[in-house]
Amino acid sequence: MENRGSFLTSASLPIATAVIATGVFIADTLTRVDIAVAVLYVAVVLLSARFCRPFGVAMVAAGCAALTILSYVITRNTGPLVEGMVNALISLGAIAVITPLVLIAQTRELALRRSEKELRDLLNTMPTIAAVTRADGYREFQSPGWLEYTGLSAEASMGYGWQATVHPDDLDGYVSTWRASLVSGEPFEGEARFRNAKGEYRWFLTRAVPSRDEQGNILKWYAIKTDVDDRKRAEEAARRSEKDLRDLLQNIPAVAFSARPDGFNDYQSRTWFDYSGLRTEDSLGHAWHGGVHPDDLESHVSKWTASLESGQPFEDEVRHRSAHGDYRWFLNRAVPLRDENGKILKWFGILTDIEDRKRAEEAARRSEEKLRDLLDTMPAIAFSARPDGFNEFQSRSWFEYSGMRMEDSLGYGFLASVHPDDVKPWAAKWMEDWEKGEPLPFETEIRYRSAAGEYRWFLVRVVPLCDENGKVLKWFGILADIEDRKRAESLLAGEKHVLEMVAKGDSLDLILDALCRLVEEQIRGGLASIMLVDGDRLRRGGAPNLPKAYTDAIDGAEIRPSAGLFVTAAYRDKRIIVADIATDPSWANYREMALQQSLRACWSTPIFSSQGKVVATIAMYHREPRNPSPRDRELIEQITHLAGVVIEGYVMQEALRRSEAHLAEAQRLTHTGSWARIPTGAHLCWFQDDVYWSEEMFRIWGFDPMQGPPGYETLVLRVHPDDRDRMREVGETAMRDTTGIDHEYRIVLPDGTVKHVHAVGRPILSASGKLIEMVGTVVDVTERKRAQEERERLRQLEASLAHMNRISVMGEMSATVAHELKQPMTAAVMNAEVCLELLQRDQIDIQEFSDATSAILRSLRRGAEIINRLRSLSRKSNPQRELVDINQAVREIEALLRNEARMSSVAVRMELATETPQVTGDRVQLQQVVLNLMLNALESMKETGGNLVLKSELTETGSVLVSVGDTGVGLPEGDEERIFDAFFTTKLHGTGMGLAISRTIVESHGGRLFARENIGPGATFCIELPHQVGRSS
Amino acid sequence: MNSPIPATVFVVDDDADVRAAMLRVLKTVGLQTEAFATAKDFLNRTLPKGPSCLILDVRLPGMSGLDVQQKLVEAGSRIPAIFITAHADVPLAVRAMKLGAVEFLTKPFRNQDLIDAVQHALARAEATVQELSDIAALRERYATLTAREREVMGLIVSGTHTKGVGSVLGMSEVTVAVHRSRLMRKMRAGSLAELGRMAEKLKLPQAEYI
Repeated sequence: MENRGSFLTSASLPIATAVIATGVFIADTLTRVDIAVAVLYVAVVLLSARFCRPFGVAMVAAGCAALTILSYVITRNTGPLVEGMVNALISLGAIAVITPLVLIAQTRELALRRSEKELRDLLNTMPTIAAVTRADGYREFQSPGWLEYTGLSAEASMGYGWQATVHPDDLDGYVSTWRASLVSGEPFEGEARFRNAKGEYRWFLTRAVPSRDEQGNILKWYAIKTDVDDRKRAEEAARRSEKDLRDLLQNIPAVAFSARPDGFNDYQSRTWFDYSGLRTEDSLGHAWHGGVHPDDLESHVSKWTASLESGQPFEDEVRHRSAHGDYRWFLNRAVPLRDENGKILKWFGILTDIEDRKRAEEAARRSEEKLRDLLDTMPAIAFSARPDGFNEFQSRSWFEYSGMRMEDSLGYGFLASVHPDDVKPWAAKWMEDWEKGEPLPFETEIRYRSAAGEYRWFLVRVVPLCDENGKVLKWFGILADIEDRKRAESLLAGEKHVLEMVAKGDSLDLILDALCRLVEEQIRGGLASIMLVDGDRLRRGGAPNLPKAYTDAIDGAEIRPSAGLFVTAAYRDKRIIVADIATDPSWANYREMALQQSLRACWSTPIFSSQGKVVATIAMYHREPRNPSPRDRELIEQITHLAGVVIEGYVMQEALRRSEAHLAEAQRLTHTGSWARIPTGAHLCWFQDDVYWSEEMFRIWGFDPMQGPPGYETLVLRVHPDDRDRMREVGETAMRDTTGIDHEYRIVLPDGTVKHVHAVGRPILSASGKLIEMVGTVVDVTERKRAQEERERLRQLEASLAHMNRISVMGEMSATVAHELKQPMTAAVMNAEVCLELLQRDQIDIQEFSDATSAILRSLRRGAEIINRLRSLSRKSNPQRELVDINQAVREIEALLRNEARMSSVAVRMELATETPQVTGDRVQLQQVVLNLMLNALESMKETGGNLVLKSELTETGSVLVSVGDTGVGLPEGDEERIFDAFFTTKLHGTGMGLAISRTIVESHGGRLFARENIGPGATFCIELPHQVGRSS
Repeated sequence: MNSPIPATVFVVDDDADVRAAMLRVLKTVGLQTEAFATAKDFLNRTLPKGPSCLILDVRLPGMSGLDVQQKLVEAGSRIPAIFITAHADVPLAVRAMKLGAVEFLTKPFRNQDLIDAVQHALARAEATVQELSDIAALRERYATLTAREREVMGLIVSGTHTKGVGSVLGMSEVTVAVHRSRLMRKMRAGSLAELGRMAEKLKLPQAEYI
């Protein structure tokens, strides 16, 4: 195939073609062979190739061959034999030659077309941008990706239209490269910015390769475009930053360098060369060693090597020689750069010129040394400390005072000599100032222990030394001994405290304890006790720190000579000093006890009252034999005086306080306030304000005790308006006539409370009878008044209720009463008419007339009686207290209800006591009770009739018992006790008040009202009243 | 008034004063009186044949005046009653009048009112007495009739003709006529109408056989 192909496509083809043409011409002209037929058959085959597939072409060729043979067979006999055969052979040969050629060409054409189509399909489906151009660069296809990106139509991009989208800056270079590729046939690669549909440009990498035929002729160019915009930009940025960095390194004032992991110096910035004057080859690698100061070289190199090995950042101060030959200090810092595995890739370092700082430090050190020398020569204590308080220096006087060695005291060692109580505040103070970051001078007071072991107060003054940024470089301090001032201050403060306690009214024990502590504070190592003189004994006053066993033992010691030192002082009224208890003969009795408690010295001093009486003793004990110093004596003197004042004042105050408390309590209990008032000048003016008010007085009047007694006018305003004038008048009269006051009035408090007060006043006169003062009391009698009023009101209410009850009973009885009255009236009227009638007769029957008149009188009397009884019952009068004949009272009620009883078919039986039972009380009210009980009894028997027994008797216990028994329905079951409750009723129209009122009435007479069921039917109500013996009406 | 038997006035009042006063008043007009404190006492008393009347207090212990009157009516007594009361109310008065009270007086009343009421009551009592004696005479006459005559009389007074009577009783008209003339003679009836009034007074049962 390849041979054939090469043969066919070789230059021999035109020759072969010419040979064939020549052959045909010769055959045509010289022979009688007719080749036209063969040519025609060839034409048929070629024609069929235009529309048939290879198989069809083969069939056509076969057909033509068959026709040739057929034509020869038909024409064999008609024409020359040879000629015909040659013609047929030539035709067959022509067909045989042309058919394979046609088939080969057709097959190749088909294959090419298919592969091209597949490629385009592939490109169409791919997201990348692809294009196909002809060999001359004319674009004939582009993938949809292109159209989508550029937003151009396919037509607009065809040919050379795509060039419009190339960035103007890139166009020339890109196009010329492309042209070169077209000419050379080399694959093309170029980058250019292409505009997208939004008008933005993005970088694309275009790659194109030519496609060639067998002869190596370029058929097409295939191009792919890749978006490389992001990469492009990153590259751009990287390039730019790299440039900046390089510029920076070249321009910073410090020296920058880098080194390989092994320490080989591979880069130094320009500044280095400027400074050192070295050439590159003289400083790269390890050559720079030559510029280091000889003194520094060894340590510098060894440190650098150590860092290289450990990988730790490197830092060192080192001197480098300059171009001028002098050395300057540099701070050399280097850090390693590592890969992701932590392997060191490179070291980067900076050299900074620190020459100036170094010089300043040197100068400071030198001046400090000078200062120290100066301070050491000063008599005061001075010190200096680092910013963190670490003491660096203490002047010689410190060591002399504290007795510490320098090595023990420097740093923080000196704290060991600070008083334990002061360490914490001192440290806190220091920390506060230090942490605040605002270093300020400060002052504090601290106790330091001296070499002798004694603490003394010092004033510590500290000032900071700062650099220009305000950072502390150092602290300087001075200690000043202020012990004496402190003691004086504390004594004063102590005295003040004690006096405050007195003023505040603290208990004497507390005050004396405070006094003892004060003494102990002033006389170091001493233990103080104060014993109070109580009759002929000494009592424990204050001894806060002495052993309890000891104070208990001496408590209650008898005051007599030679009992013990503290006692003797009280006895002899003078100070006694025992420097050593163990040897002093006067300490016989308590020596053992004292020694047991390891008390060795005792200075005892009596405390005098203002009258010169010994009221207490103060004793100062020591645990070692000791004599008082002049200062001790002075101090004890001072304290003793103070104690005398305190004790005396306290005793007086206590007595006063107690009596005042009693008085106030009494006043509170009795609601009694007291007051005092002083007149002024010749004109005895009552309106002078009160000068004294007791506590209760303020409470009664509702004024604030803190404000003091109110002015007279203010006072008057609190008085009830109706009482003001009288109050003024009474007061003025009393002042003028120097008489007493005794009256009652009302006061109105701001909240509207009204109080009744009873004021009493008494004038206090001078010997000449002049009024000095008016004193008196005001008693709050509101409660009493109110109770009285309440009782009165209740009595009135009861009376009203009772009256209402009677009236309502009257109402119920009105029919009966009317009937009752009408009977005698009717009789009287009739009799009177009879009299008139008799008078009209000629002959007057005197007897008859007299009878009729008497009857009239009797009837009228009877009527009057009824009216009287009713009136007495219905009258509302205040309850009376009189002697009441119970029998009489009962009889009257019986008479009133007799008719009522008859109407109800009730038989009334009276069983009255033969004696005359008497009670003290209100007759009407008592009758009302009987009336209520009888009405109830009648009511209970209304339907059935029955018997009513009215009984009065004197019991053995000496009381009067009135009972009303009936045979009615009896007490309501289950409610026996409730019948006396208000509003409890079993009647249809009852008010439920009758029995409740009755019971109240009976009880107000000191008796009781009760009910009980009868053995037979009905109930009995009993009134039991105290019998009034003796007098009879 | 001119009745041979003297009239009696009974007084029942529990109040002694009123009772005495009433007796005194009635005595002034010459009436015979009899007084009782309770109703029970009065009811135990047998009433006299002659005309009498009763003065009753409405409000009495045990039994009220109206109850007394009720009892009397039930017992067939026709004694006229005068009620007196301390306070009158309409229902009380109506009840009293229904029981045949002659008068209802409210205390206090004028003597003349009481006397008038008593006179009126006594007049009615006399009439009653007359009527009762008439009926007693008729009863006596009716008692003389034979059984057959009573039958015939009953039919006649109920308006049955002679023929009808005969057929009812199963006898001839002539026999009926004989019986009729005999019984009319015995009853002293002048006409059939008179016989009818008699039958009415006698309270004969009519139309027994219709």
